[in-house]
Amino acid sequence: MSSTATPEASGHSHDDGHGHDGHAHGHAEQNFFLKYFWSTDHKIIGFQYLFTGMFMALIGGFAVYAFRMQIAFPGMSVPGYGRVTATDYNALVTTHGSVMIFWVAMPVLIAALGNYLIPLMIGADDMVFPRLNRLSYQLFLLSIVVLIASFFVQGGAFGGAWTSYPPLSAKPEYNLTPLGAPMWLVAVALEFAAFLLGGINFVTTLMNSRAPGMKMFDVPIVIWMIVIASILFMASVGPLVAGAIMLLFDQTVGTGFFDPKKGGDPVLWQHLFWFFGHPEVYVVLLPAMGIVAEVITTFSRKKLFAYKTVIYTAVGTGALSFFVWAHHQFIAGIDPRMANIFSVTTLLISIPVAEMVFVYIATLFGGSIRLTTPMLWALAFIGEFLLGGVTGIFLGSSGADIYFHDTYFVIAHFHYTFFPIAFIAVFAAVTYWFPKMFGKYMNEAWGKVHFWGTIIPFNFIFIPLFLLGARGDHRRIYDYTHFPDLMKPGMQDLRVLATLSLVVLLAFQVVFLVNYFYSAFKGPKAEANPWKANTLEWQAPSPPPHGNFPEGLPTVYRGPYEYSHPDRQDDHWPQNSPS
Amino acid sequence: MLTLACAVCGGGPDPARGSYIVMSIIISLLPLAMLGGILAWVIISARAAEAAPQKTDDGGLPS
Amino acid sequence: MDATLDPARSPAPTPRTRRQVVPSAVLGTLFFVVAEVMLFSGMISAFTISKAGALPGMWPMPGQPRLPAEATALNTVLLLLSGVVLFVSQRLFQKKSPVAHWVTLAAWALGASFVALQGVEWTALLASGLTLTSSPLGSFFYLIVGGHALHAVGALLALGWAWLQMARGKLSPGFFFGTQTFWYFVVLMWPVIYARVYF
Repeated sequence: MSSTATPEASGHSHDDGHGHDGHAHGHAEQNFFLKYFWSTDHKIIGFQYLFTGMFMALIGGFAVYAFRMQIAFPGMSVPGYGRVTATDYNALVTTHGSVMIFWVAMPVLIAALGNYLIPLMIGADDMVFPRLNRLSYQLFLLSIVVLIASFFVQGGAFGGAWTSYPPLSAKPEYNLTPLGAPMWLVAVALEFAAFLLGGINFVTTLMNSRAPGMKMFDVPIVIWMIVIASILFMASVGPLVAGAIMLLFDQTVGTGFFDPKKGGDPVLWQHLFWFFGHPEVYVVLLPAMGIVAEVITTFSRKKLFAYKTVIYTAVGTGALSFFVWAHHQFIAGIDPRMANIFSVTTLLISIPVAEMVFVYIATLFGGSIRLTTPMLWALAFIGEFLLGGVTGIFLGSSGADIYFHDTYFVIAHFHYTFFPIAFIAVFAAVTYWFPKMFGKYMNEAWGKVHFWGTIIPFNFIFIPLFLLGARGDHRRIYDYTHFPDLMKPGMQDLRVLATLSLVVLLAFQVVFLVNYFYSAFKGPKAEANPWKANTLEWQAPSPPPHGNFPEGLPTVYRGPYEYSHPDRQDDHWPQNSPS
Repeated sequence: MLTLACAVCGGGPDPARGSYIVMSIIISLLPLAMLGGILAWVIISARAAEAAPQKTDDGGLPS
Repeated sequence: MDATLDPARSPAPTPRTRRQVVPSAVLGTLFFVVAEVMLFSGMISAFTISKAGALPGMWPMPGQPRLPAEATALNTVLLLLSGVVLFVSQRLFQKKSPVAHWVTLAAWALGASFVALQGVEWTALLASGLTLTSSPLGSFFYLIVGGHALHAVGALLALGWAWLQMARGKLSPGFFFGTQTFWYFVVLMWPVIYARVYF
């Protein structure tokens, strides 16, 4: 690169990062540790996040297995865990919730895919601040160390649910985890710091490192979505960090921010938490939507219907997402005037999200659809997420929510949104970009076995929970046999059905893990652009070397979705192809 | 106003409820205002950079 | 790094970079500042709500000292002044003026005196019985003002490093502008905190 760039253009970290492209060829072989654990290469950092996220998913999955077994078969000794005590039950539920959201969905959807894809898809050699990026992963790893350590301290892991409401979370007398609770908070705070650094990197990289010729409206949807999501994250996380510091003081120093006896207000925490907590839903939803956009355009060989509309609706969703958070507190004692307003905004936000779904269906319409494994996942995402969205209408109406609040209906609803986001869309992404990441193919047949083995049990877990919730089944109960009203005929059968389906679903993940790791090493070799896709990452070799584009950074001539162009013989038209 | 039927709604002294509403409005609008400001600044700078003579090594391509 | 990169040896076509419409360091810092502003607005809104919800006559709690609003006005002026001086130093730096680093040092000194005076104020308040746990006002005071002080100290460390590098003539503009953006945040956040918390 030349030094004629304006002097203020090159921050000092920036210089270090772009030092790479000069060394891309005569790059000295680093030792294993430096290459995989101390790397500033965005692809390695993406892999670090991806594999850490996968590992945490195993922990989250194990936790749900243990506590669901307790719900279905109260008092039994769970194989692989032992007897689940009431304290264990709380800790397991909390671990499952916080791990799946903060340590699986966030790192995989935002950090792993963002790090891996952003520089590749915008035609850059690396992030703008590579060392900040490395620090981000290190902080994230530290947060996991703190979290996992909290499982083994005196009193065990925190058991106050992932929402961590005071007074339960604020006082060791109530939650009985004098060490687990503050450690959980510290872990969450560290994790946020990590994503803050990552988000800063994503935004600046998209702004300042796009390949020559790439306009903002030539950027693939998934990159837009990840960047909009990181901006949402950065803008909404502040109040929760403020609340977390206050809660940490309440737990450790003895202040009374959330203690009415000392002049505090417990509902205040809920505001601070959900101010972040609801935008967080859209933080993970938008990247998932972006993945689906990439996959369905590639496999229906059609231009994305209304590219700009998708971006504007994503921005609109993001803006609206700041005005919906109090719908989590309809019966927590908030002002009814507020409940009305938030009811309306909550129902409003379904419009842009529905619009995105319509755009995807319109893209599919008339395309030559290939039902590969990633495509199956993407289609399943649209269908399953739709169910989650539609059931949200019931909960968003403040009147209906009075009945549904804290029932299994809520659980089924948000799992119908979060599972498609954090797993279905992620499986679409992982299988779609696998040839790029490893230069190998995954096994299609086993991929489809895994797909059906996940989708069918998934519905068999949560449809029973909808039924239970509609019958008033209350959540956060350790042993239903103590509640005759919740043990009416059929209710326990539905719980058992959900639990057994869960076991089946978890068992099928073994298929995926074996397929994934076997293919990564022994799979058939993949060419650079196996799906005949247009975006820039497919124009780099598979797997891309350090510096990404060995023949120099690409120049972009057109948008990312020029499939089946009438004037061309080829049905795809790579963004960097001059003609 | 179905929510008024709810027994737990509308607790707390009135000034606190009022300030909840005011603070909710401020805290919800603030991020949008800041992000909008940054976006406007970036767009204005981009326009200015386009108007100014090119001195980049962009290969003369529009950015 | 450019000196080591011989264009003749690098693969054709030479990797090109986009001109940065907004410098990366400034843009990155700006987004960090957005998150920080939201952090403080979370704390200040919590403070406002708790204050409004306090029982009559309980804010500030009887027997608790008043916050020294008048004495802090001087601090506020010092801090604002430091922001102005830093702005001047940026102008000088861009003109490659040889006195730029002295002006930066002046801004640093003004900022440091703000932190020092805050420290003096804290010791007086602690001595008169306002502690973190003595009352909601005390809790919020140390939370918000302490949070701001921590940011000020962090920013001062960065600014001090910038001054050192500037004096040696080795300062990278990106670092300076990023630090400067952050210092403006520290400066401009303070009047809001002062107006909300002290009165």
